[in-house]
Amino acid sequence: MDILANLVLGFATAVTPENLLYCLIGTVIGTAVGVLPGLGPSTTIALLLPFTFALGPTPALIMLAGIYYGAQYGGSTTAILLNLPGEPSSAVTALDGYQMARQGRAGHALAIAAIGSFAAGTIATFVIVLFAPVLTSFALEFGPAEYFSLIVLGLIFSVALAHGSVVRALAMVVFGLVLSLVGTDVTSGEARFTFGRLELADGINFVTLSIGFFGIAEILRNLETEGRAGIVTKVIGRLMPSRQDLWRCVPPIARGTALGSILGILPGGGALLSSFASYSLEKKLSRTPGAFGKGAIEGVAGPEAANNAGAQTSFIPMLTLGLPANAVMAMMVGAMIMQGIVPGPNVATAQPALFWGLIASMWLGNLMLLVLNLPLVGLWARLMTIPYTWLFPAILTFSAIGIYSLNGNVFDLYALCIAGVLGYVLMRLGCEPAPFLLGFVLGPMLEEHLRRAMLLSFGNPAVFVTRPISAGLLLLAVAALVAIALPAVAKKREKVFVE
Amino acid sequence: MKTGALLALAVAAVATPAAHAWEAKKPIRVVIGYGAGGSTDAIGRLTFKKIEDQKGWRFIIENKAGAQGALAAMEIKNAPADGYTIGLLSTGNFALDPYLSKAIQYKPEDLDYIGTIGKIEYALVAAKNAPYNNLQELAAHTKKNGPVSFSSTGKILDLAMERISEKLGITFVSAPTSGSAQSVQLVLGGHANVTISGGVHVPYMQSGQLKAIALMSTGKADYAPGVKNAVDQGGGFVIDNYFLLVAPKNLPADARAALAEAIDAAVKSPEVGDYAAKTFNTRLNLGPDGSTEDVMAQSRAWREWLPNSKLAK
Amino acid sequence: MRTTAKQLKAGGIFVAIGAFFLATSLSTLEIGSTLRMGPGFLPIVLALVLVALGLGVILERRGGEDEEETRPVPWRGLVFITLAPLLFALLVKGWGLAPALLAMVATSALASRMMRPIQVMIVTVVLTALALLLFSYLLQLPYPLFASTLATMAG
Repeated sequence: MDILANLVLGFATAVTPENLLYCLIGTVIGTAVGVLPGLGPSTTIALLLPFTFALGPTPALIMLAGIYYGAQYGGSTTAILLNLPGEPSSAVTALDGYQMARQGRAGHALAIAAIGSFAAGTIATFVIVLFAPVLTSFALEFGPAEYFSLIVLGLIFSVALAHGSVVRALAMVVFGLVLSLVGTDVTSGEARFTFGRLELADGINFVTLSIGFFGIAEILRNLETEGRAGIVTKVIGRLMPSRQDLWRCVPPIARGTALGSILGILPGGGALLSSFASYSLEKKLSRTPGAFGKGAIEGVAGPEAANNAGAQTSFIPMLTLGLPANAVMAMMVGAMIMQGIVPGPNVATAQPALFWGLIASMWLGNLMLLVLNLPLVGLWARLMTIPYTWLFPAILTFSAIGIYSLNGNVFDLYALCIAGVLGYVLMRLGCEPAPFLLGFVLGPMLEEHLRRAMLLSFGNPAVFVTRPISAGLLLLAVAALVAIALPAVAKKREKVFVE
Repeated sequence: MKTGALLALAVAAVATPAAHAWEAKKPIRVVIGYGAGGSTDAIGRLTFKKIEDQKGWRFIIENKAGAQGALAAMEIKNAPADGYTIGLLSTGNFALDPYLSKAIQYKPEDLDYIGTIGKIEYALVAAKNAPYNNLQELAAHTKKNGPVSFSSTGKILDLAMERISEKLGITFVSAPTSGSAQSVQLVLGGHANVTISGGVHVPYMQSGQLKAIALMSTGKADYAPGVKNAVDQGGGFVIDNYFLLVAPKNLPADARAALAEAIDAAVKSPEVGDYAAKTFNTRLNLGPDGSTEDVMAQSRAWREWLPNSKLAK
Repeated sequence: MRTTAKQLKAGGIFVAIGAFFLATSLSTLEIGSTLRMGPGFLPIVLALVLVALGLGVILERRGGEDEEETRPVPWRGLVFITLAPLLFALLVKGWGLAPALLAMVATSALASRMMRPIQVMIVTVVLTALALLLFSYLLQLPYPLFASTLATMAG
């Protein structure tokens, strides 16, 4: 059978000592870099790109892929321990992961993130092997109208990331959308809301906002109660989750993997959408939705699984369509081209060893991450015992340098201060940052696809409901909105009645 | 005083007479106006790697994408003209873009041009089953069925499409995309009818999913032997766009000569040639004077044309 | 069943931001048509929605679900935490990475009321050294430790 032959070829390629070594180097560098907030994998890959020249195409790509998913992994670690999400997907992990860490369950959160990621990565590898050709044609079906509807659905989902008022969460989503429009309009090239500042021409940086709204705001929040209550619990507790906890996480991991595998194929933010679609889904299905945002282990397991599965399957559009899902993958396309491999429909047939070797190495890399990181969980968890007074200057310092190193631009530091204070004020007023960040990330895509869809349909807005996939997604969005709003309305009625 | 000593050192370093050819004494900063991994970035990194091998100089490469290259162009314009800051963009960034938006605050004469790496070879492509095979048929099709949709990767491509369309009576609606891979994907998925692409389309033509309607530059296209270029088809225009190396205005003559010579040697290397061939672009260095003349000539031509353009407003 | 101060402030912020973006869009950006949406189309729509949602936040009946904030504002922290990155930003180009880092770490350590001066000094020295080791030595970020423009500034 073809599939078996492909798998054998893939593993035969991936387990050569050279490829194993570069896979290991990649995952280790990736993890280390991911842990440092701001200093993302894109900086690292850009630094290492010339070095990969000396390697053959297969080891070079295996190493770059290792950096990519290693960094995602490391990013979750910082999000859980310090509430510093360096990437959009880790913003979801931070919600419950950080709360778990504060309750002395950092070990559990880190371990379940590792286990969930590994399980998802394993399944996604097989999904790719079995369905790669089908998946490519599925990705082609998605035009601007479909993407627009998918993003609308995602925005509605993101309301579930906050607890408390639905209206406030919606307002934060829209605030994020509005802020994402700052910068050069990609369609007209016109500057919007930049007030003549060239630094704003590229828009506001995601990492800056994320660290400001999550990290800095959290520092300020902690300084409120300084000297009166222990800010961070000193109890580490059990490192590994109990069998019961693991058992509880199986369904969320399975559902997250399914979501991630499907959405990851869509290069327009699919992998990212999957992690918070998973969060919303788990919260909806949970018998105790109130526990979400306060340290629910399912809220870490599901999104982490979805994110990792999505990261795996997003290699499909990159390899077969040359469409990278994010900046890191864009560099991998660059690396491929530099190695003389043009991504396209023929990569899998013209370069079978590279294609299947890369996919097999992703599974091996995930295994390495698990083996490397599970023993580290204890060490990381110990970080939580450092008194906060000693810790927060480090958080601030490393964040600030990381942000400065993104563009070498001091303007980003001013933005960091503003974002930190604004995020803190909003947090005090009961407006949570996660929906805001997702609105901010999805905003440019929403606008781009809306405008493109309207142009390509020659100005007919019916395109969103006449195309079946788009219509289905919009229908789902309406249903989700009703489902979110109904309990709130019902609860309010109850309250009114009581009074 | 310590700072005084440093100052003296700095002055001494600058004042060292250039008895022989200029040599890079510290790493040269290269600002690339497009994202890492794009076609300009890839061919640029390859070229600078080659110069490192050949000359022993060091380069620090920075990607400064944004405002379609204008941010990078501004940065180079404002950098000291000492040979230690250069930029890599494309001709359109200087010949056309400054006249399209008041937000772009440089003009082509504000910079020095030190050479080109290659010419970008474009083609107008459509899905295999599209009911037209050349520009005439495309014109007839739009006259009968209304406009076609065009996914576009840059302003220079929009204006090129507009020019041949005016001439032949094609009607189209242009939808900008963020890159040529995306433009091609929209055509593959049937979401857009045609696009102009500079290399990404070739594998899809080989796999039989796309076909070329017209070549949009004058070079040869071995992958599409029967297809004529837009001028030969009566469209009256083809695109001339180069991977262009720029420096701050008034570079010292010796530094300019040394950089130009190093670039020329790298562009002539087999590695750069192979790479250009693989991505179906033509390796070509116009040299410092040639590229300056080319930018100025193109900029004059565009300024003359722009009043006719509806897209440029 | 009345609007709390918290609701008023939160809603007020959204209304203000929405109004600001609305006014800026209307005065500087083109709306365009549904076919060719101008750069102002979505900003105007979204700013209007934000104003509406801000009003919604104010008028929403929260039925006592919102506790009023009782925790004090950490004014000292607020000042020093924002000052630290600003100092870094001001110093890094002109003076170099090392002095800028030193200033940032010291300032941020002062944000805590619990830090004794000796602790501030320890944190500053240790963290600066660590950060320099990591960013300058291991990761080789291309920023000079001490800027050469120190000289030109003096001259």
